[in-house]
Amino acid sequence: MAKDDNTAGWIFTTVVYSLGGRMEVGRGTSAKATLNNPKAVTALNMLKKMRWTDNSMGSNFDYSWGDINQSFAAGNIGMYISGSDVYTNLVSASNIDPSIYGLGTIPLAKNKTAGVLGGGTEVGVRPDANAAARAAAVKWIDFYYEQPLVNKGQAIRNAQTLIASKQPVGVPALPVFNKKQYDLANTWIKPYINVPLSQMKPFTDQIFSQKLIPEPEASTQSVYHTLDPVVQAVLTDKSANITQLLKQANSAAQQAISQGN
Amino acid sequence: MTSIDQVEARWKEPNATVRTPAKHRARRSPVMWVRSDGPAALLFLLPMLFVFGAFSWYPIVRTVIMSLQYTNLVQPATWVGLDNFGTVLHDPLLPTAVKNTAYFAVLALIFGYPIPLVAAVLMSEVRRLRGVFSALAYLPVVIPPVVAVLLWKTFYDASPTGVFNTILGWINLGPYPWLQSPGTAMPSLVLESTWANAGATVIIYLAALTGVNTELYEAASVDGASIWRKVWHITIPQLRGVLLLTMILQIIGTAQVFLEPYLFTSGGPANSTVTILLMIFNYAFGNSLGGNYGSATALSLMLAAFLAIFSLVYLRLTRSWSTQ
Repeated sequence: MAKDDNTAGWIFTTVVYSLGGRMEVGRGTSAKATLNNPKAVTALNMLKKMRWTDNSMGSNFDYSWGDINQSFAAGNIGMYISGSDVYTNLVSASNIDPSIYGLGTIPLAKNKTAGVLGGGTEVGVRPDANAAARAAAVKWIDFYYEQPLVNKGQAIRNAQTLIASKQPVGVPALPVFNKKQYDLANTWIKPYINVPLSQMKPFTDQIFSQKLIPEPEASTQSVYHTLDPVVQAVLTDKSANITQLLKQANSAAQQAISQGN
Repeated sequence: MTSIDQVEARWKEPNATVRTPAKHRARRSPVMWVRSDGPAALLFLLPMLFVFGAFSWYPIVRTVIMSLQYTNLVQPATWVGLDNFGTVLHDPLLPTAVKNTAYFAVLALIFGYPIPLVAAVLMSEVRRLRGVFSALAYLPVVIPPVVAVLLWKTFYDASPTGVFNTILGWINLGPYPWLQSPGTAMPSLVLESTWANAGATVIIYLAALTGVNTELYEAASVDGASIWRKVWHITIPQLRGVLLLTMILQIIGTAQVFLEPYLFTSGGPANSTVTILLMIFNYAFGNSLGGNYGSATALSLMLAAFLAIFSLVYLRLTRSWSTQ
C-alpha cells in the first residue's frame, strides 16, 4: 500500500483515527497540521513491527488503489483496509471469487477519540447551472442515491436492474440512515441479494455502533499525499526515522494547507 | 610603387570601395528579392514556420508567461512575478529530485554509455549474422516503452517467485527487493533504461564505425597491435565526434528522465526515485484539485536554462577535442 496516489496516506489516516489520533485541527487555510501526533507514531511503529519483525506485510509495497483490489481479488493479498462498498468493484472489475471475501469493521482503541474514518462520494451541481438544471440534478440525486434506501418500489426496481446487468445486490455500504431503515430496505430486496452477506456480518453487526469521523477537512488529498512517502519509507527502509519522517510530512502538509492546495 | 605597395595603399585608403558581404546584402532591393524567387521561398517556408510556431515557439513563449502567473487553466490567470520560482526553490522535495536525477544520470553514464559502444565494436568485428545482431540490439527500442516497463515490473517482482529472484535463487542469491527498496530502486530503473535505449545508440555507433578507414586497422595489425590497442588507439579516436555528441544527448536525455520513475515507482519508495520531470508532472497534474501550472513551468524553465548552459559549456570545452 504505498504507490504515490494518496492510498497509503488515507489508509494510514484510517489507522491513526482508529487509535484516536487526528491529522489536523481547525478549518480551511488556517487549519493546523498535526500529522506528527503520538498516535501516528504508534501506528507507524506498529507498521514497522509488522514489516520488519513479523514479516507479515509481503514483499511488494508499491500498490496503487487499483493494484490492491486486483491483487486481493486474485488471492495475492490476505487483508487490507478499504471502503465497505468496494465489493461491487471487486466483482465487476476483478471477477472475485465470493468465497474468499469477508468484511469486518476496523478494531478501535478504547479511548474517546478513536473512530472510523468516514468518506464517501460527493455529488456536485455546477453553481452557474440554471434553476431548472439544479432542480433536475437534485431530483436525479434523490432518485439514484436515496430512493433505493427509503422506497420499496424503487429498491426492488434498483435490485432488478443490478441483477439484469450482472451486478452485486445487497453490498453493505456505510449506512446513511438508522439501523431500522437499513434492515427494512434489506428485507425489500432479500430475494435479489447475491452477495455472501454472512461473510460480511462482522461489518453489518458492528458499523452502527462505530463512531464515524470525517476525513481531514483542509487540503485532504494533499495531507494524504504527504503521508505516502512516510508509509513507503517505513515499509522499505528498516532504519527509517519515524519522528523525522512525520516532522517533514507535517511541515509539507502545513504548507499545502496554508496555500489552500 | 610595387604592386604590393599598391595593394597596401588601397587597403589603408579610408574611402576604399571594398564591399563587405553584409553591406552587399543590405543594399538588396525588394525588386531583386522578388526576381530571385524570394516570395516562392517564403511560400514554401510558411508551412514549416507555422508548424514550428504553433507547436514549438508558441508553447515556449506560453511557458515563460505561465511561469510568471498563477493559473489552473479554469479561473483567470493572475500575475505573480517570480513567486512560482520561489515556491519551487523552497520546495523541500527539490534537492531530493535534483540529487536523484543526477544519480540516474551518473549511473546511466557509467553503465548505459559504454555498453552500446562495446556492443557496436564487437558487432562490427563479427563477420556473419551482423544484421541479426543489429536487429536483436534494436529490438528493445521497438517495444513500446509502457509494455517494456510492465514486462520488467514482473521481472522485478520482489517476492521469491519474481523472475529475477527465481533465476538468482538458482545460484543461492537473493531474494532482492529491486523496486521495493530506496537503495535498489534507482539502479533498477537504470538497468531497464539501458536495456531499452542502448539499441538506438548501437546503431549510431555501427554507422560511425563504417566510416573508420580499414587501412588503419590493417596497419596496426601489421605492427602487431592487439584488438584492445586497436580499439583504444584507432576506433575511439576516430569516433570521438560521435562519442561526444551521444554523451551530451544522453546527459540531456537522462536529465529529463520521466518514463521509468513514473511508470515503475511513481517516485517511490519514500521519494527515492522522484526526478525533476516527475516533480514538474506532479506540480501540473498530480493534484486532483487543479494543477499548479505556474510552478510546473517555472521548474521546466529552470531545467531548460541549466541544460542550455551546460550544453554550451560542454560544447565549448570539447570543441577542440572533437574536431581535431
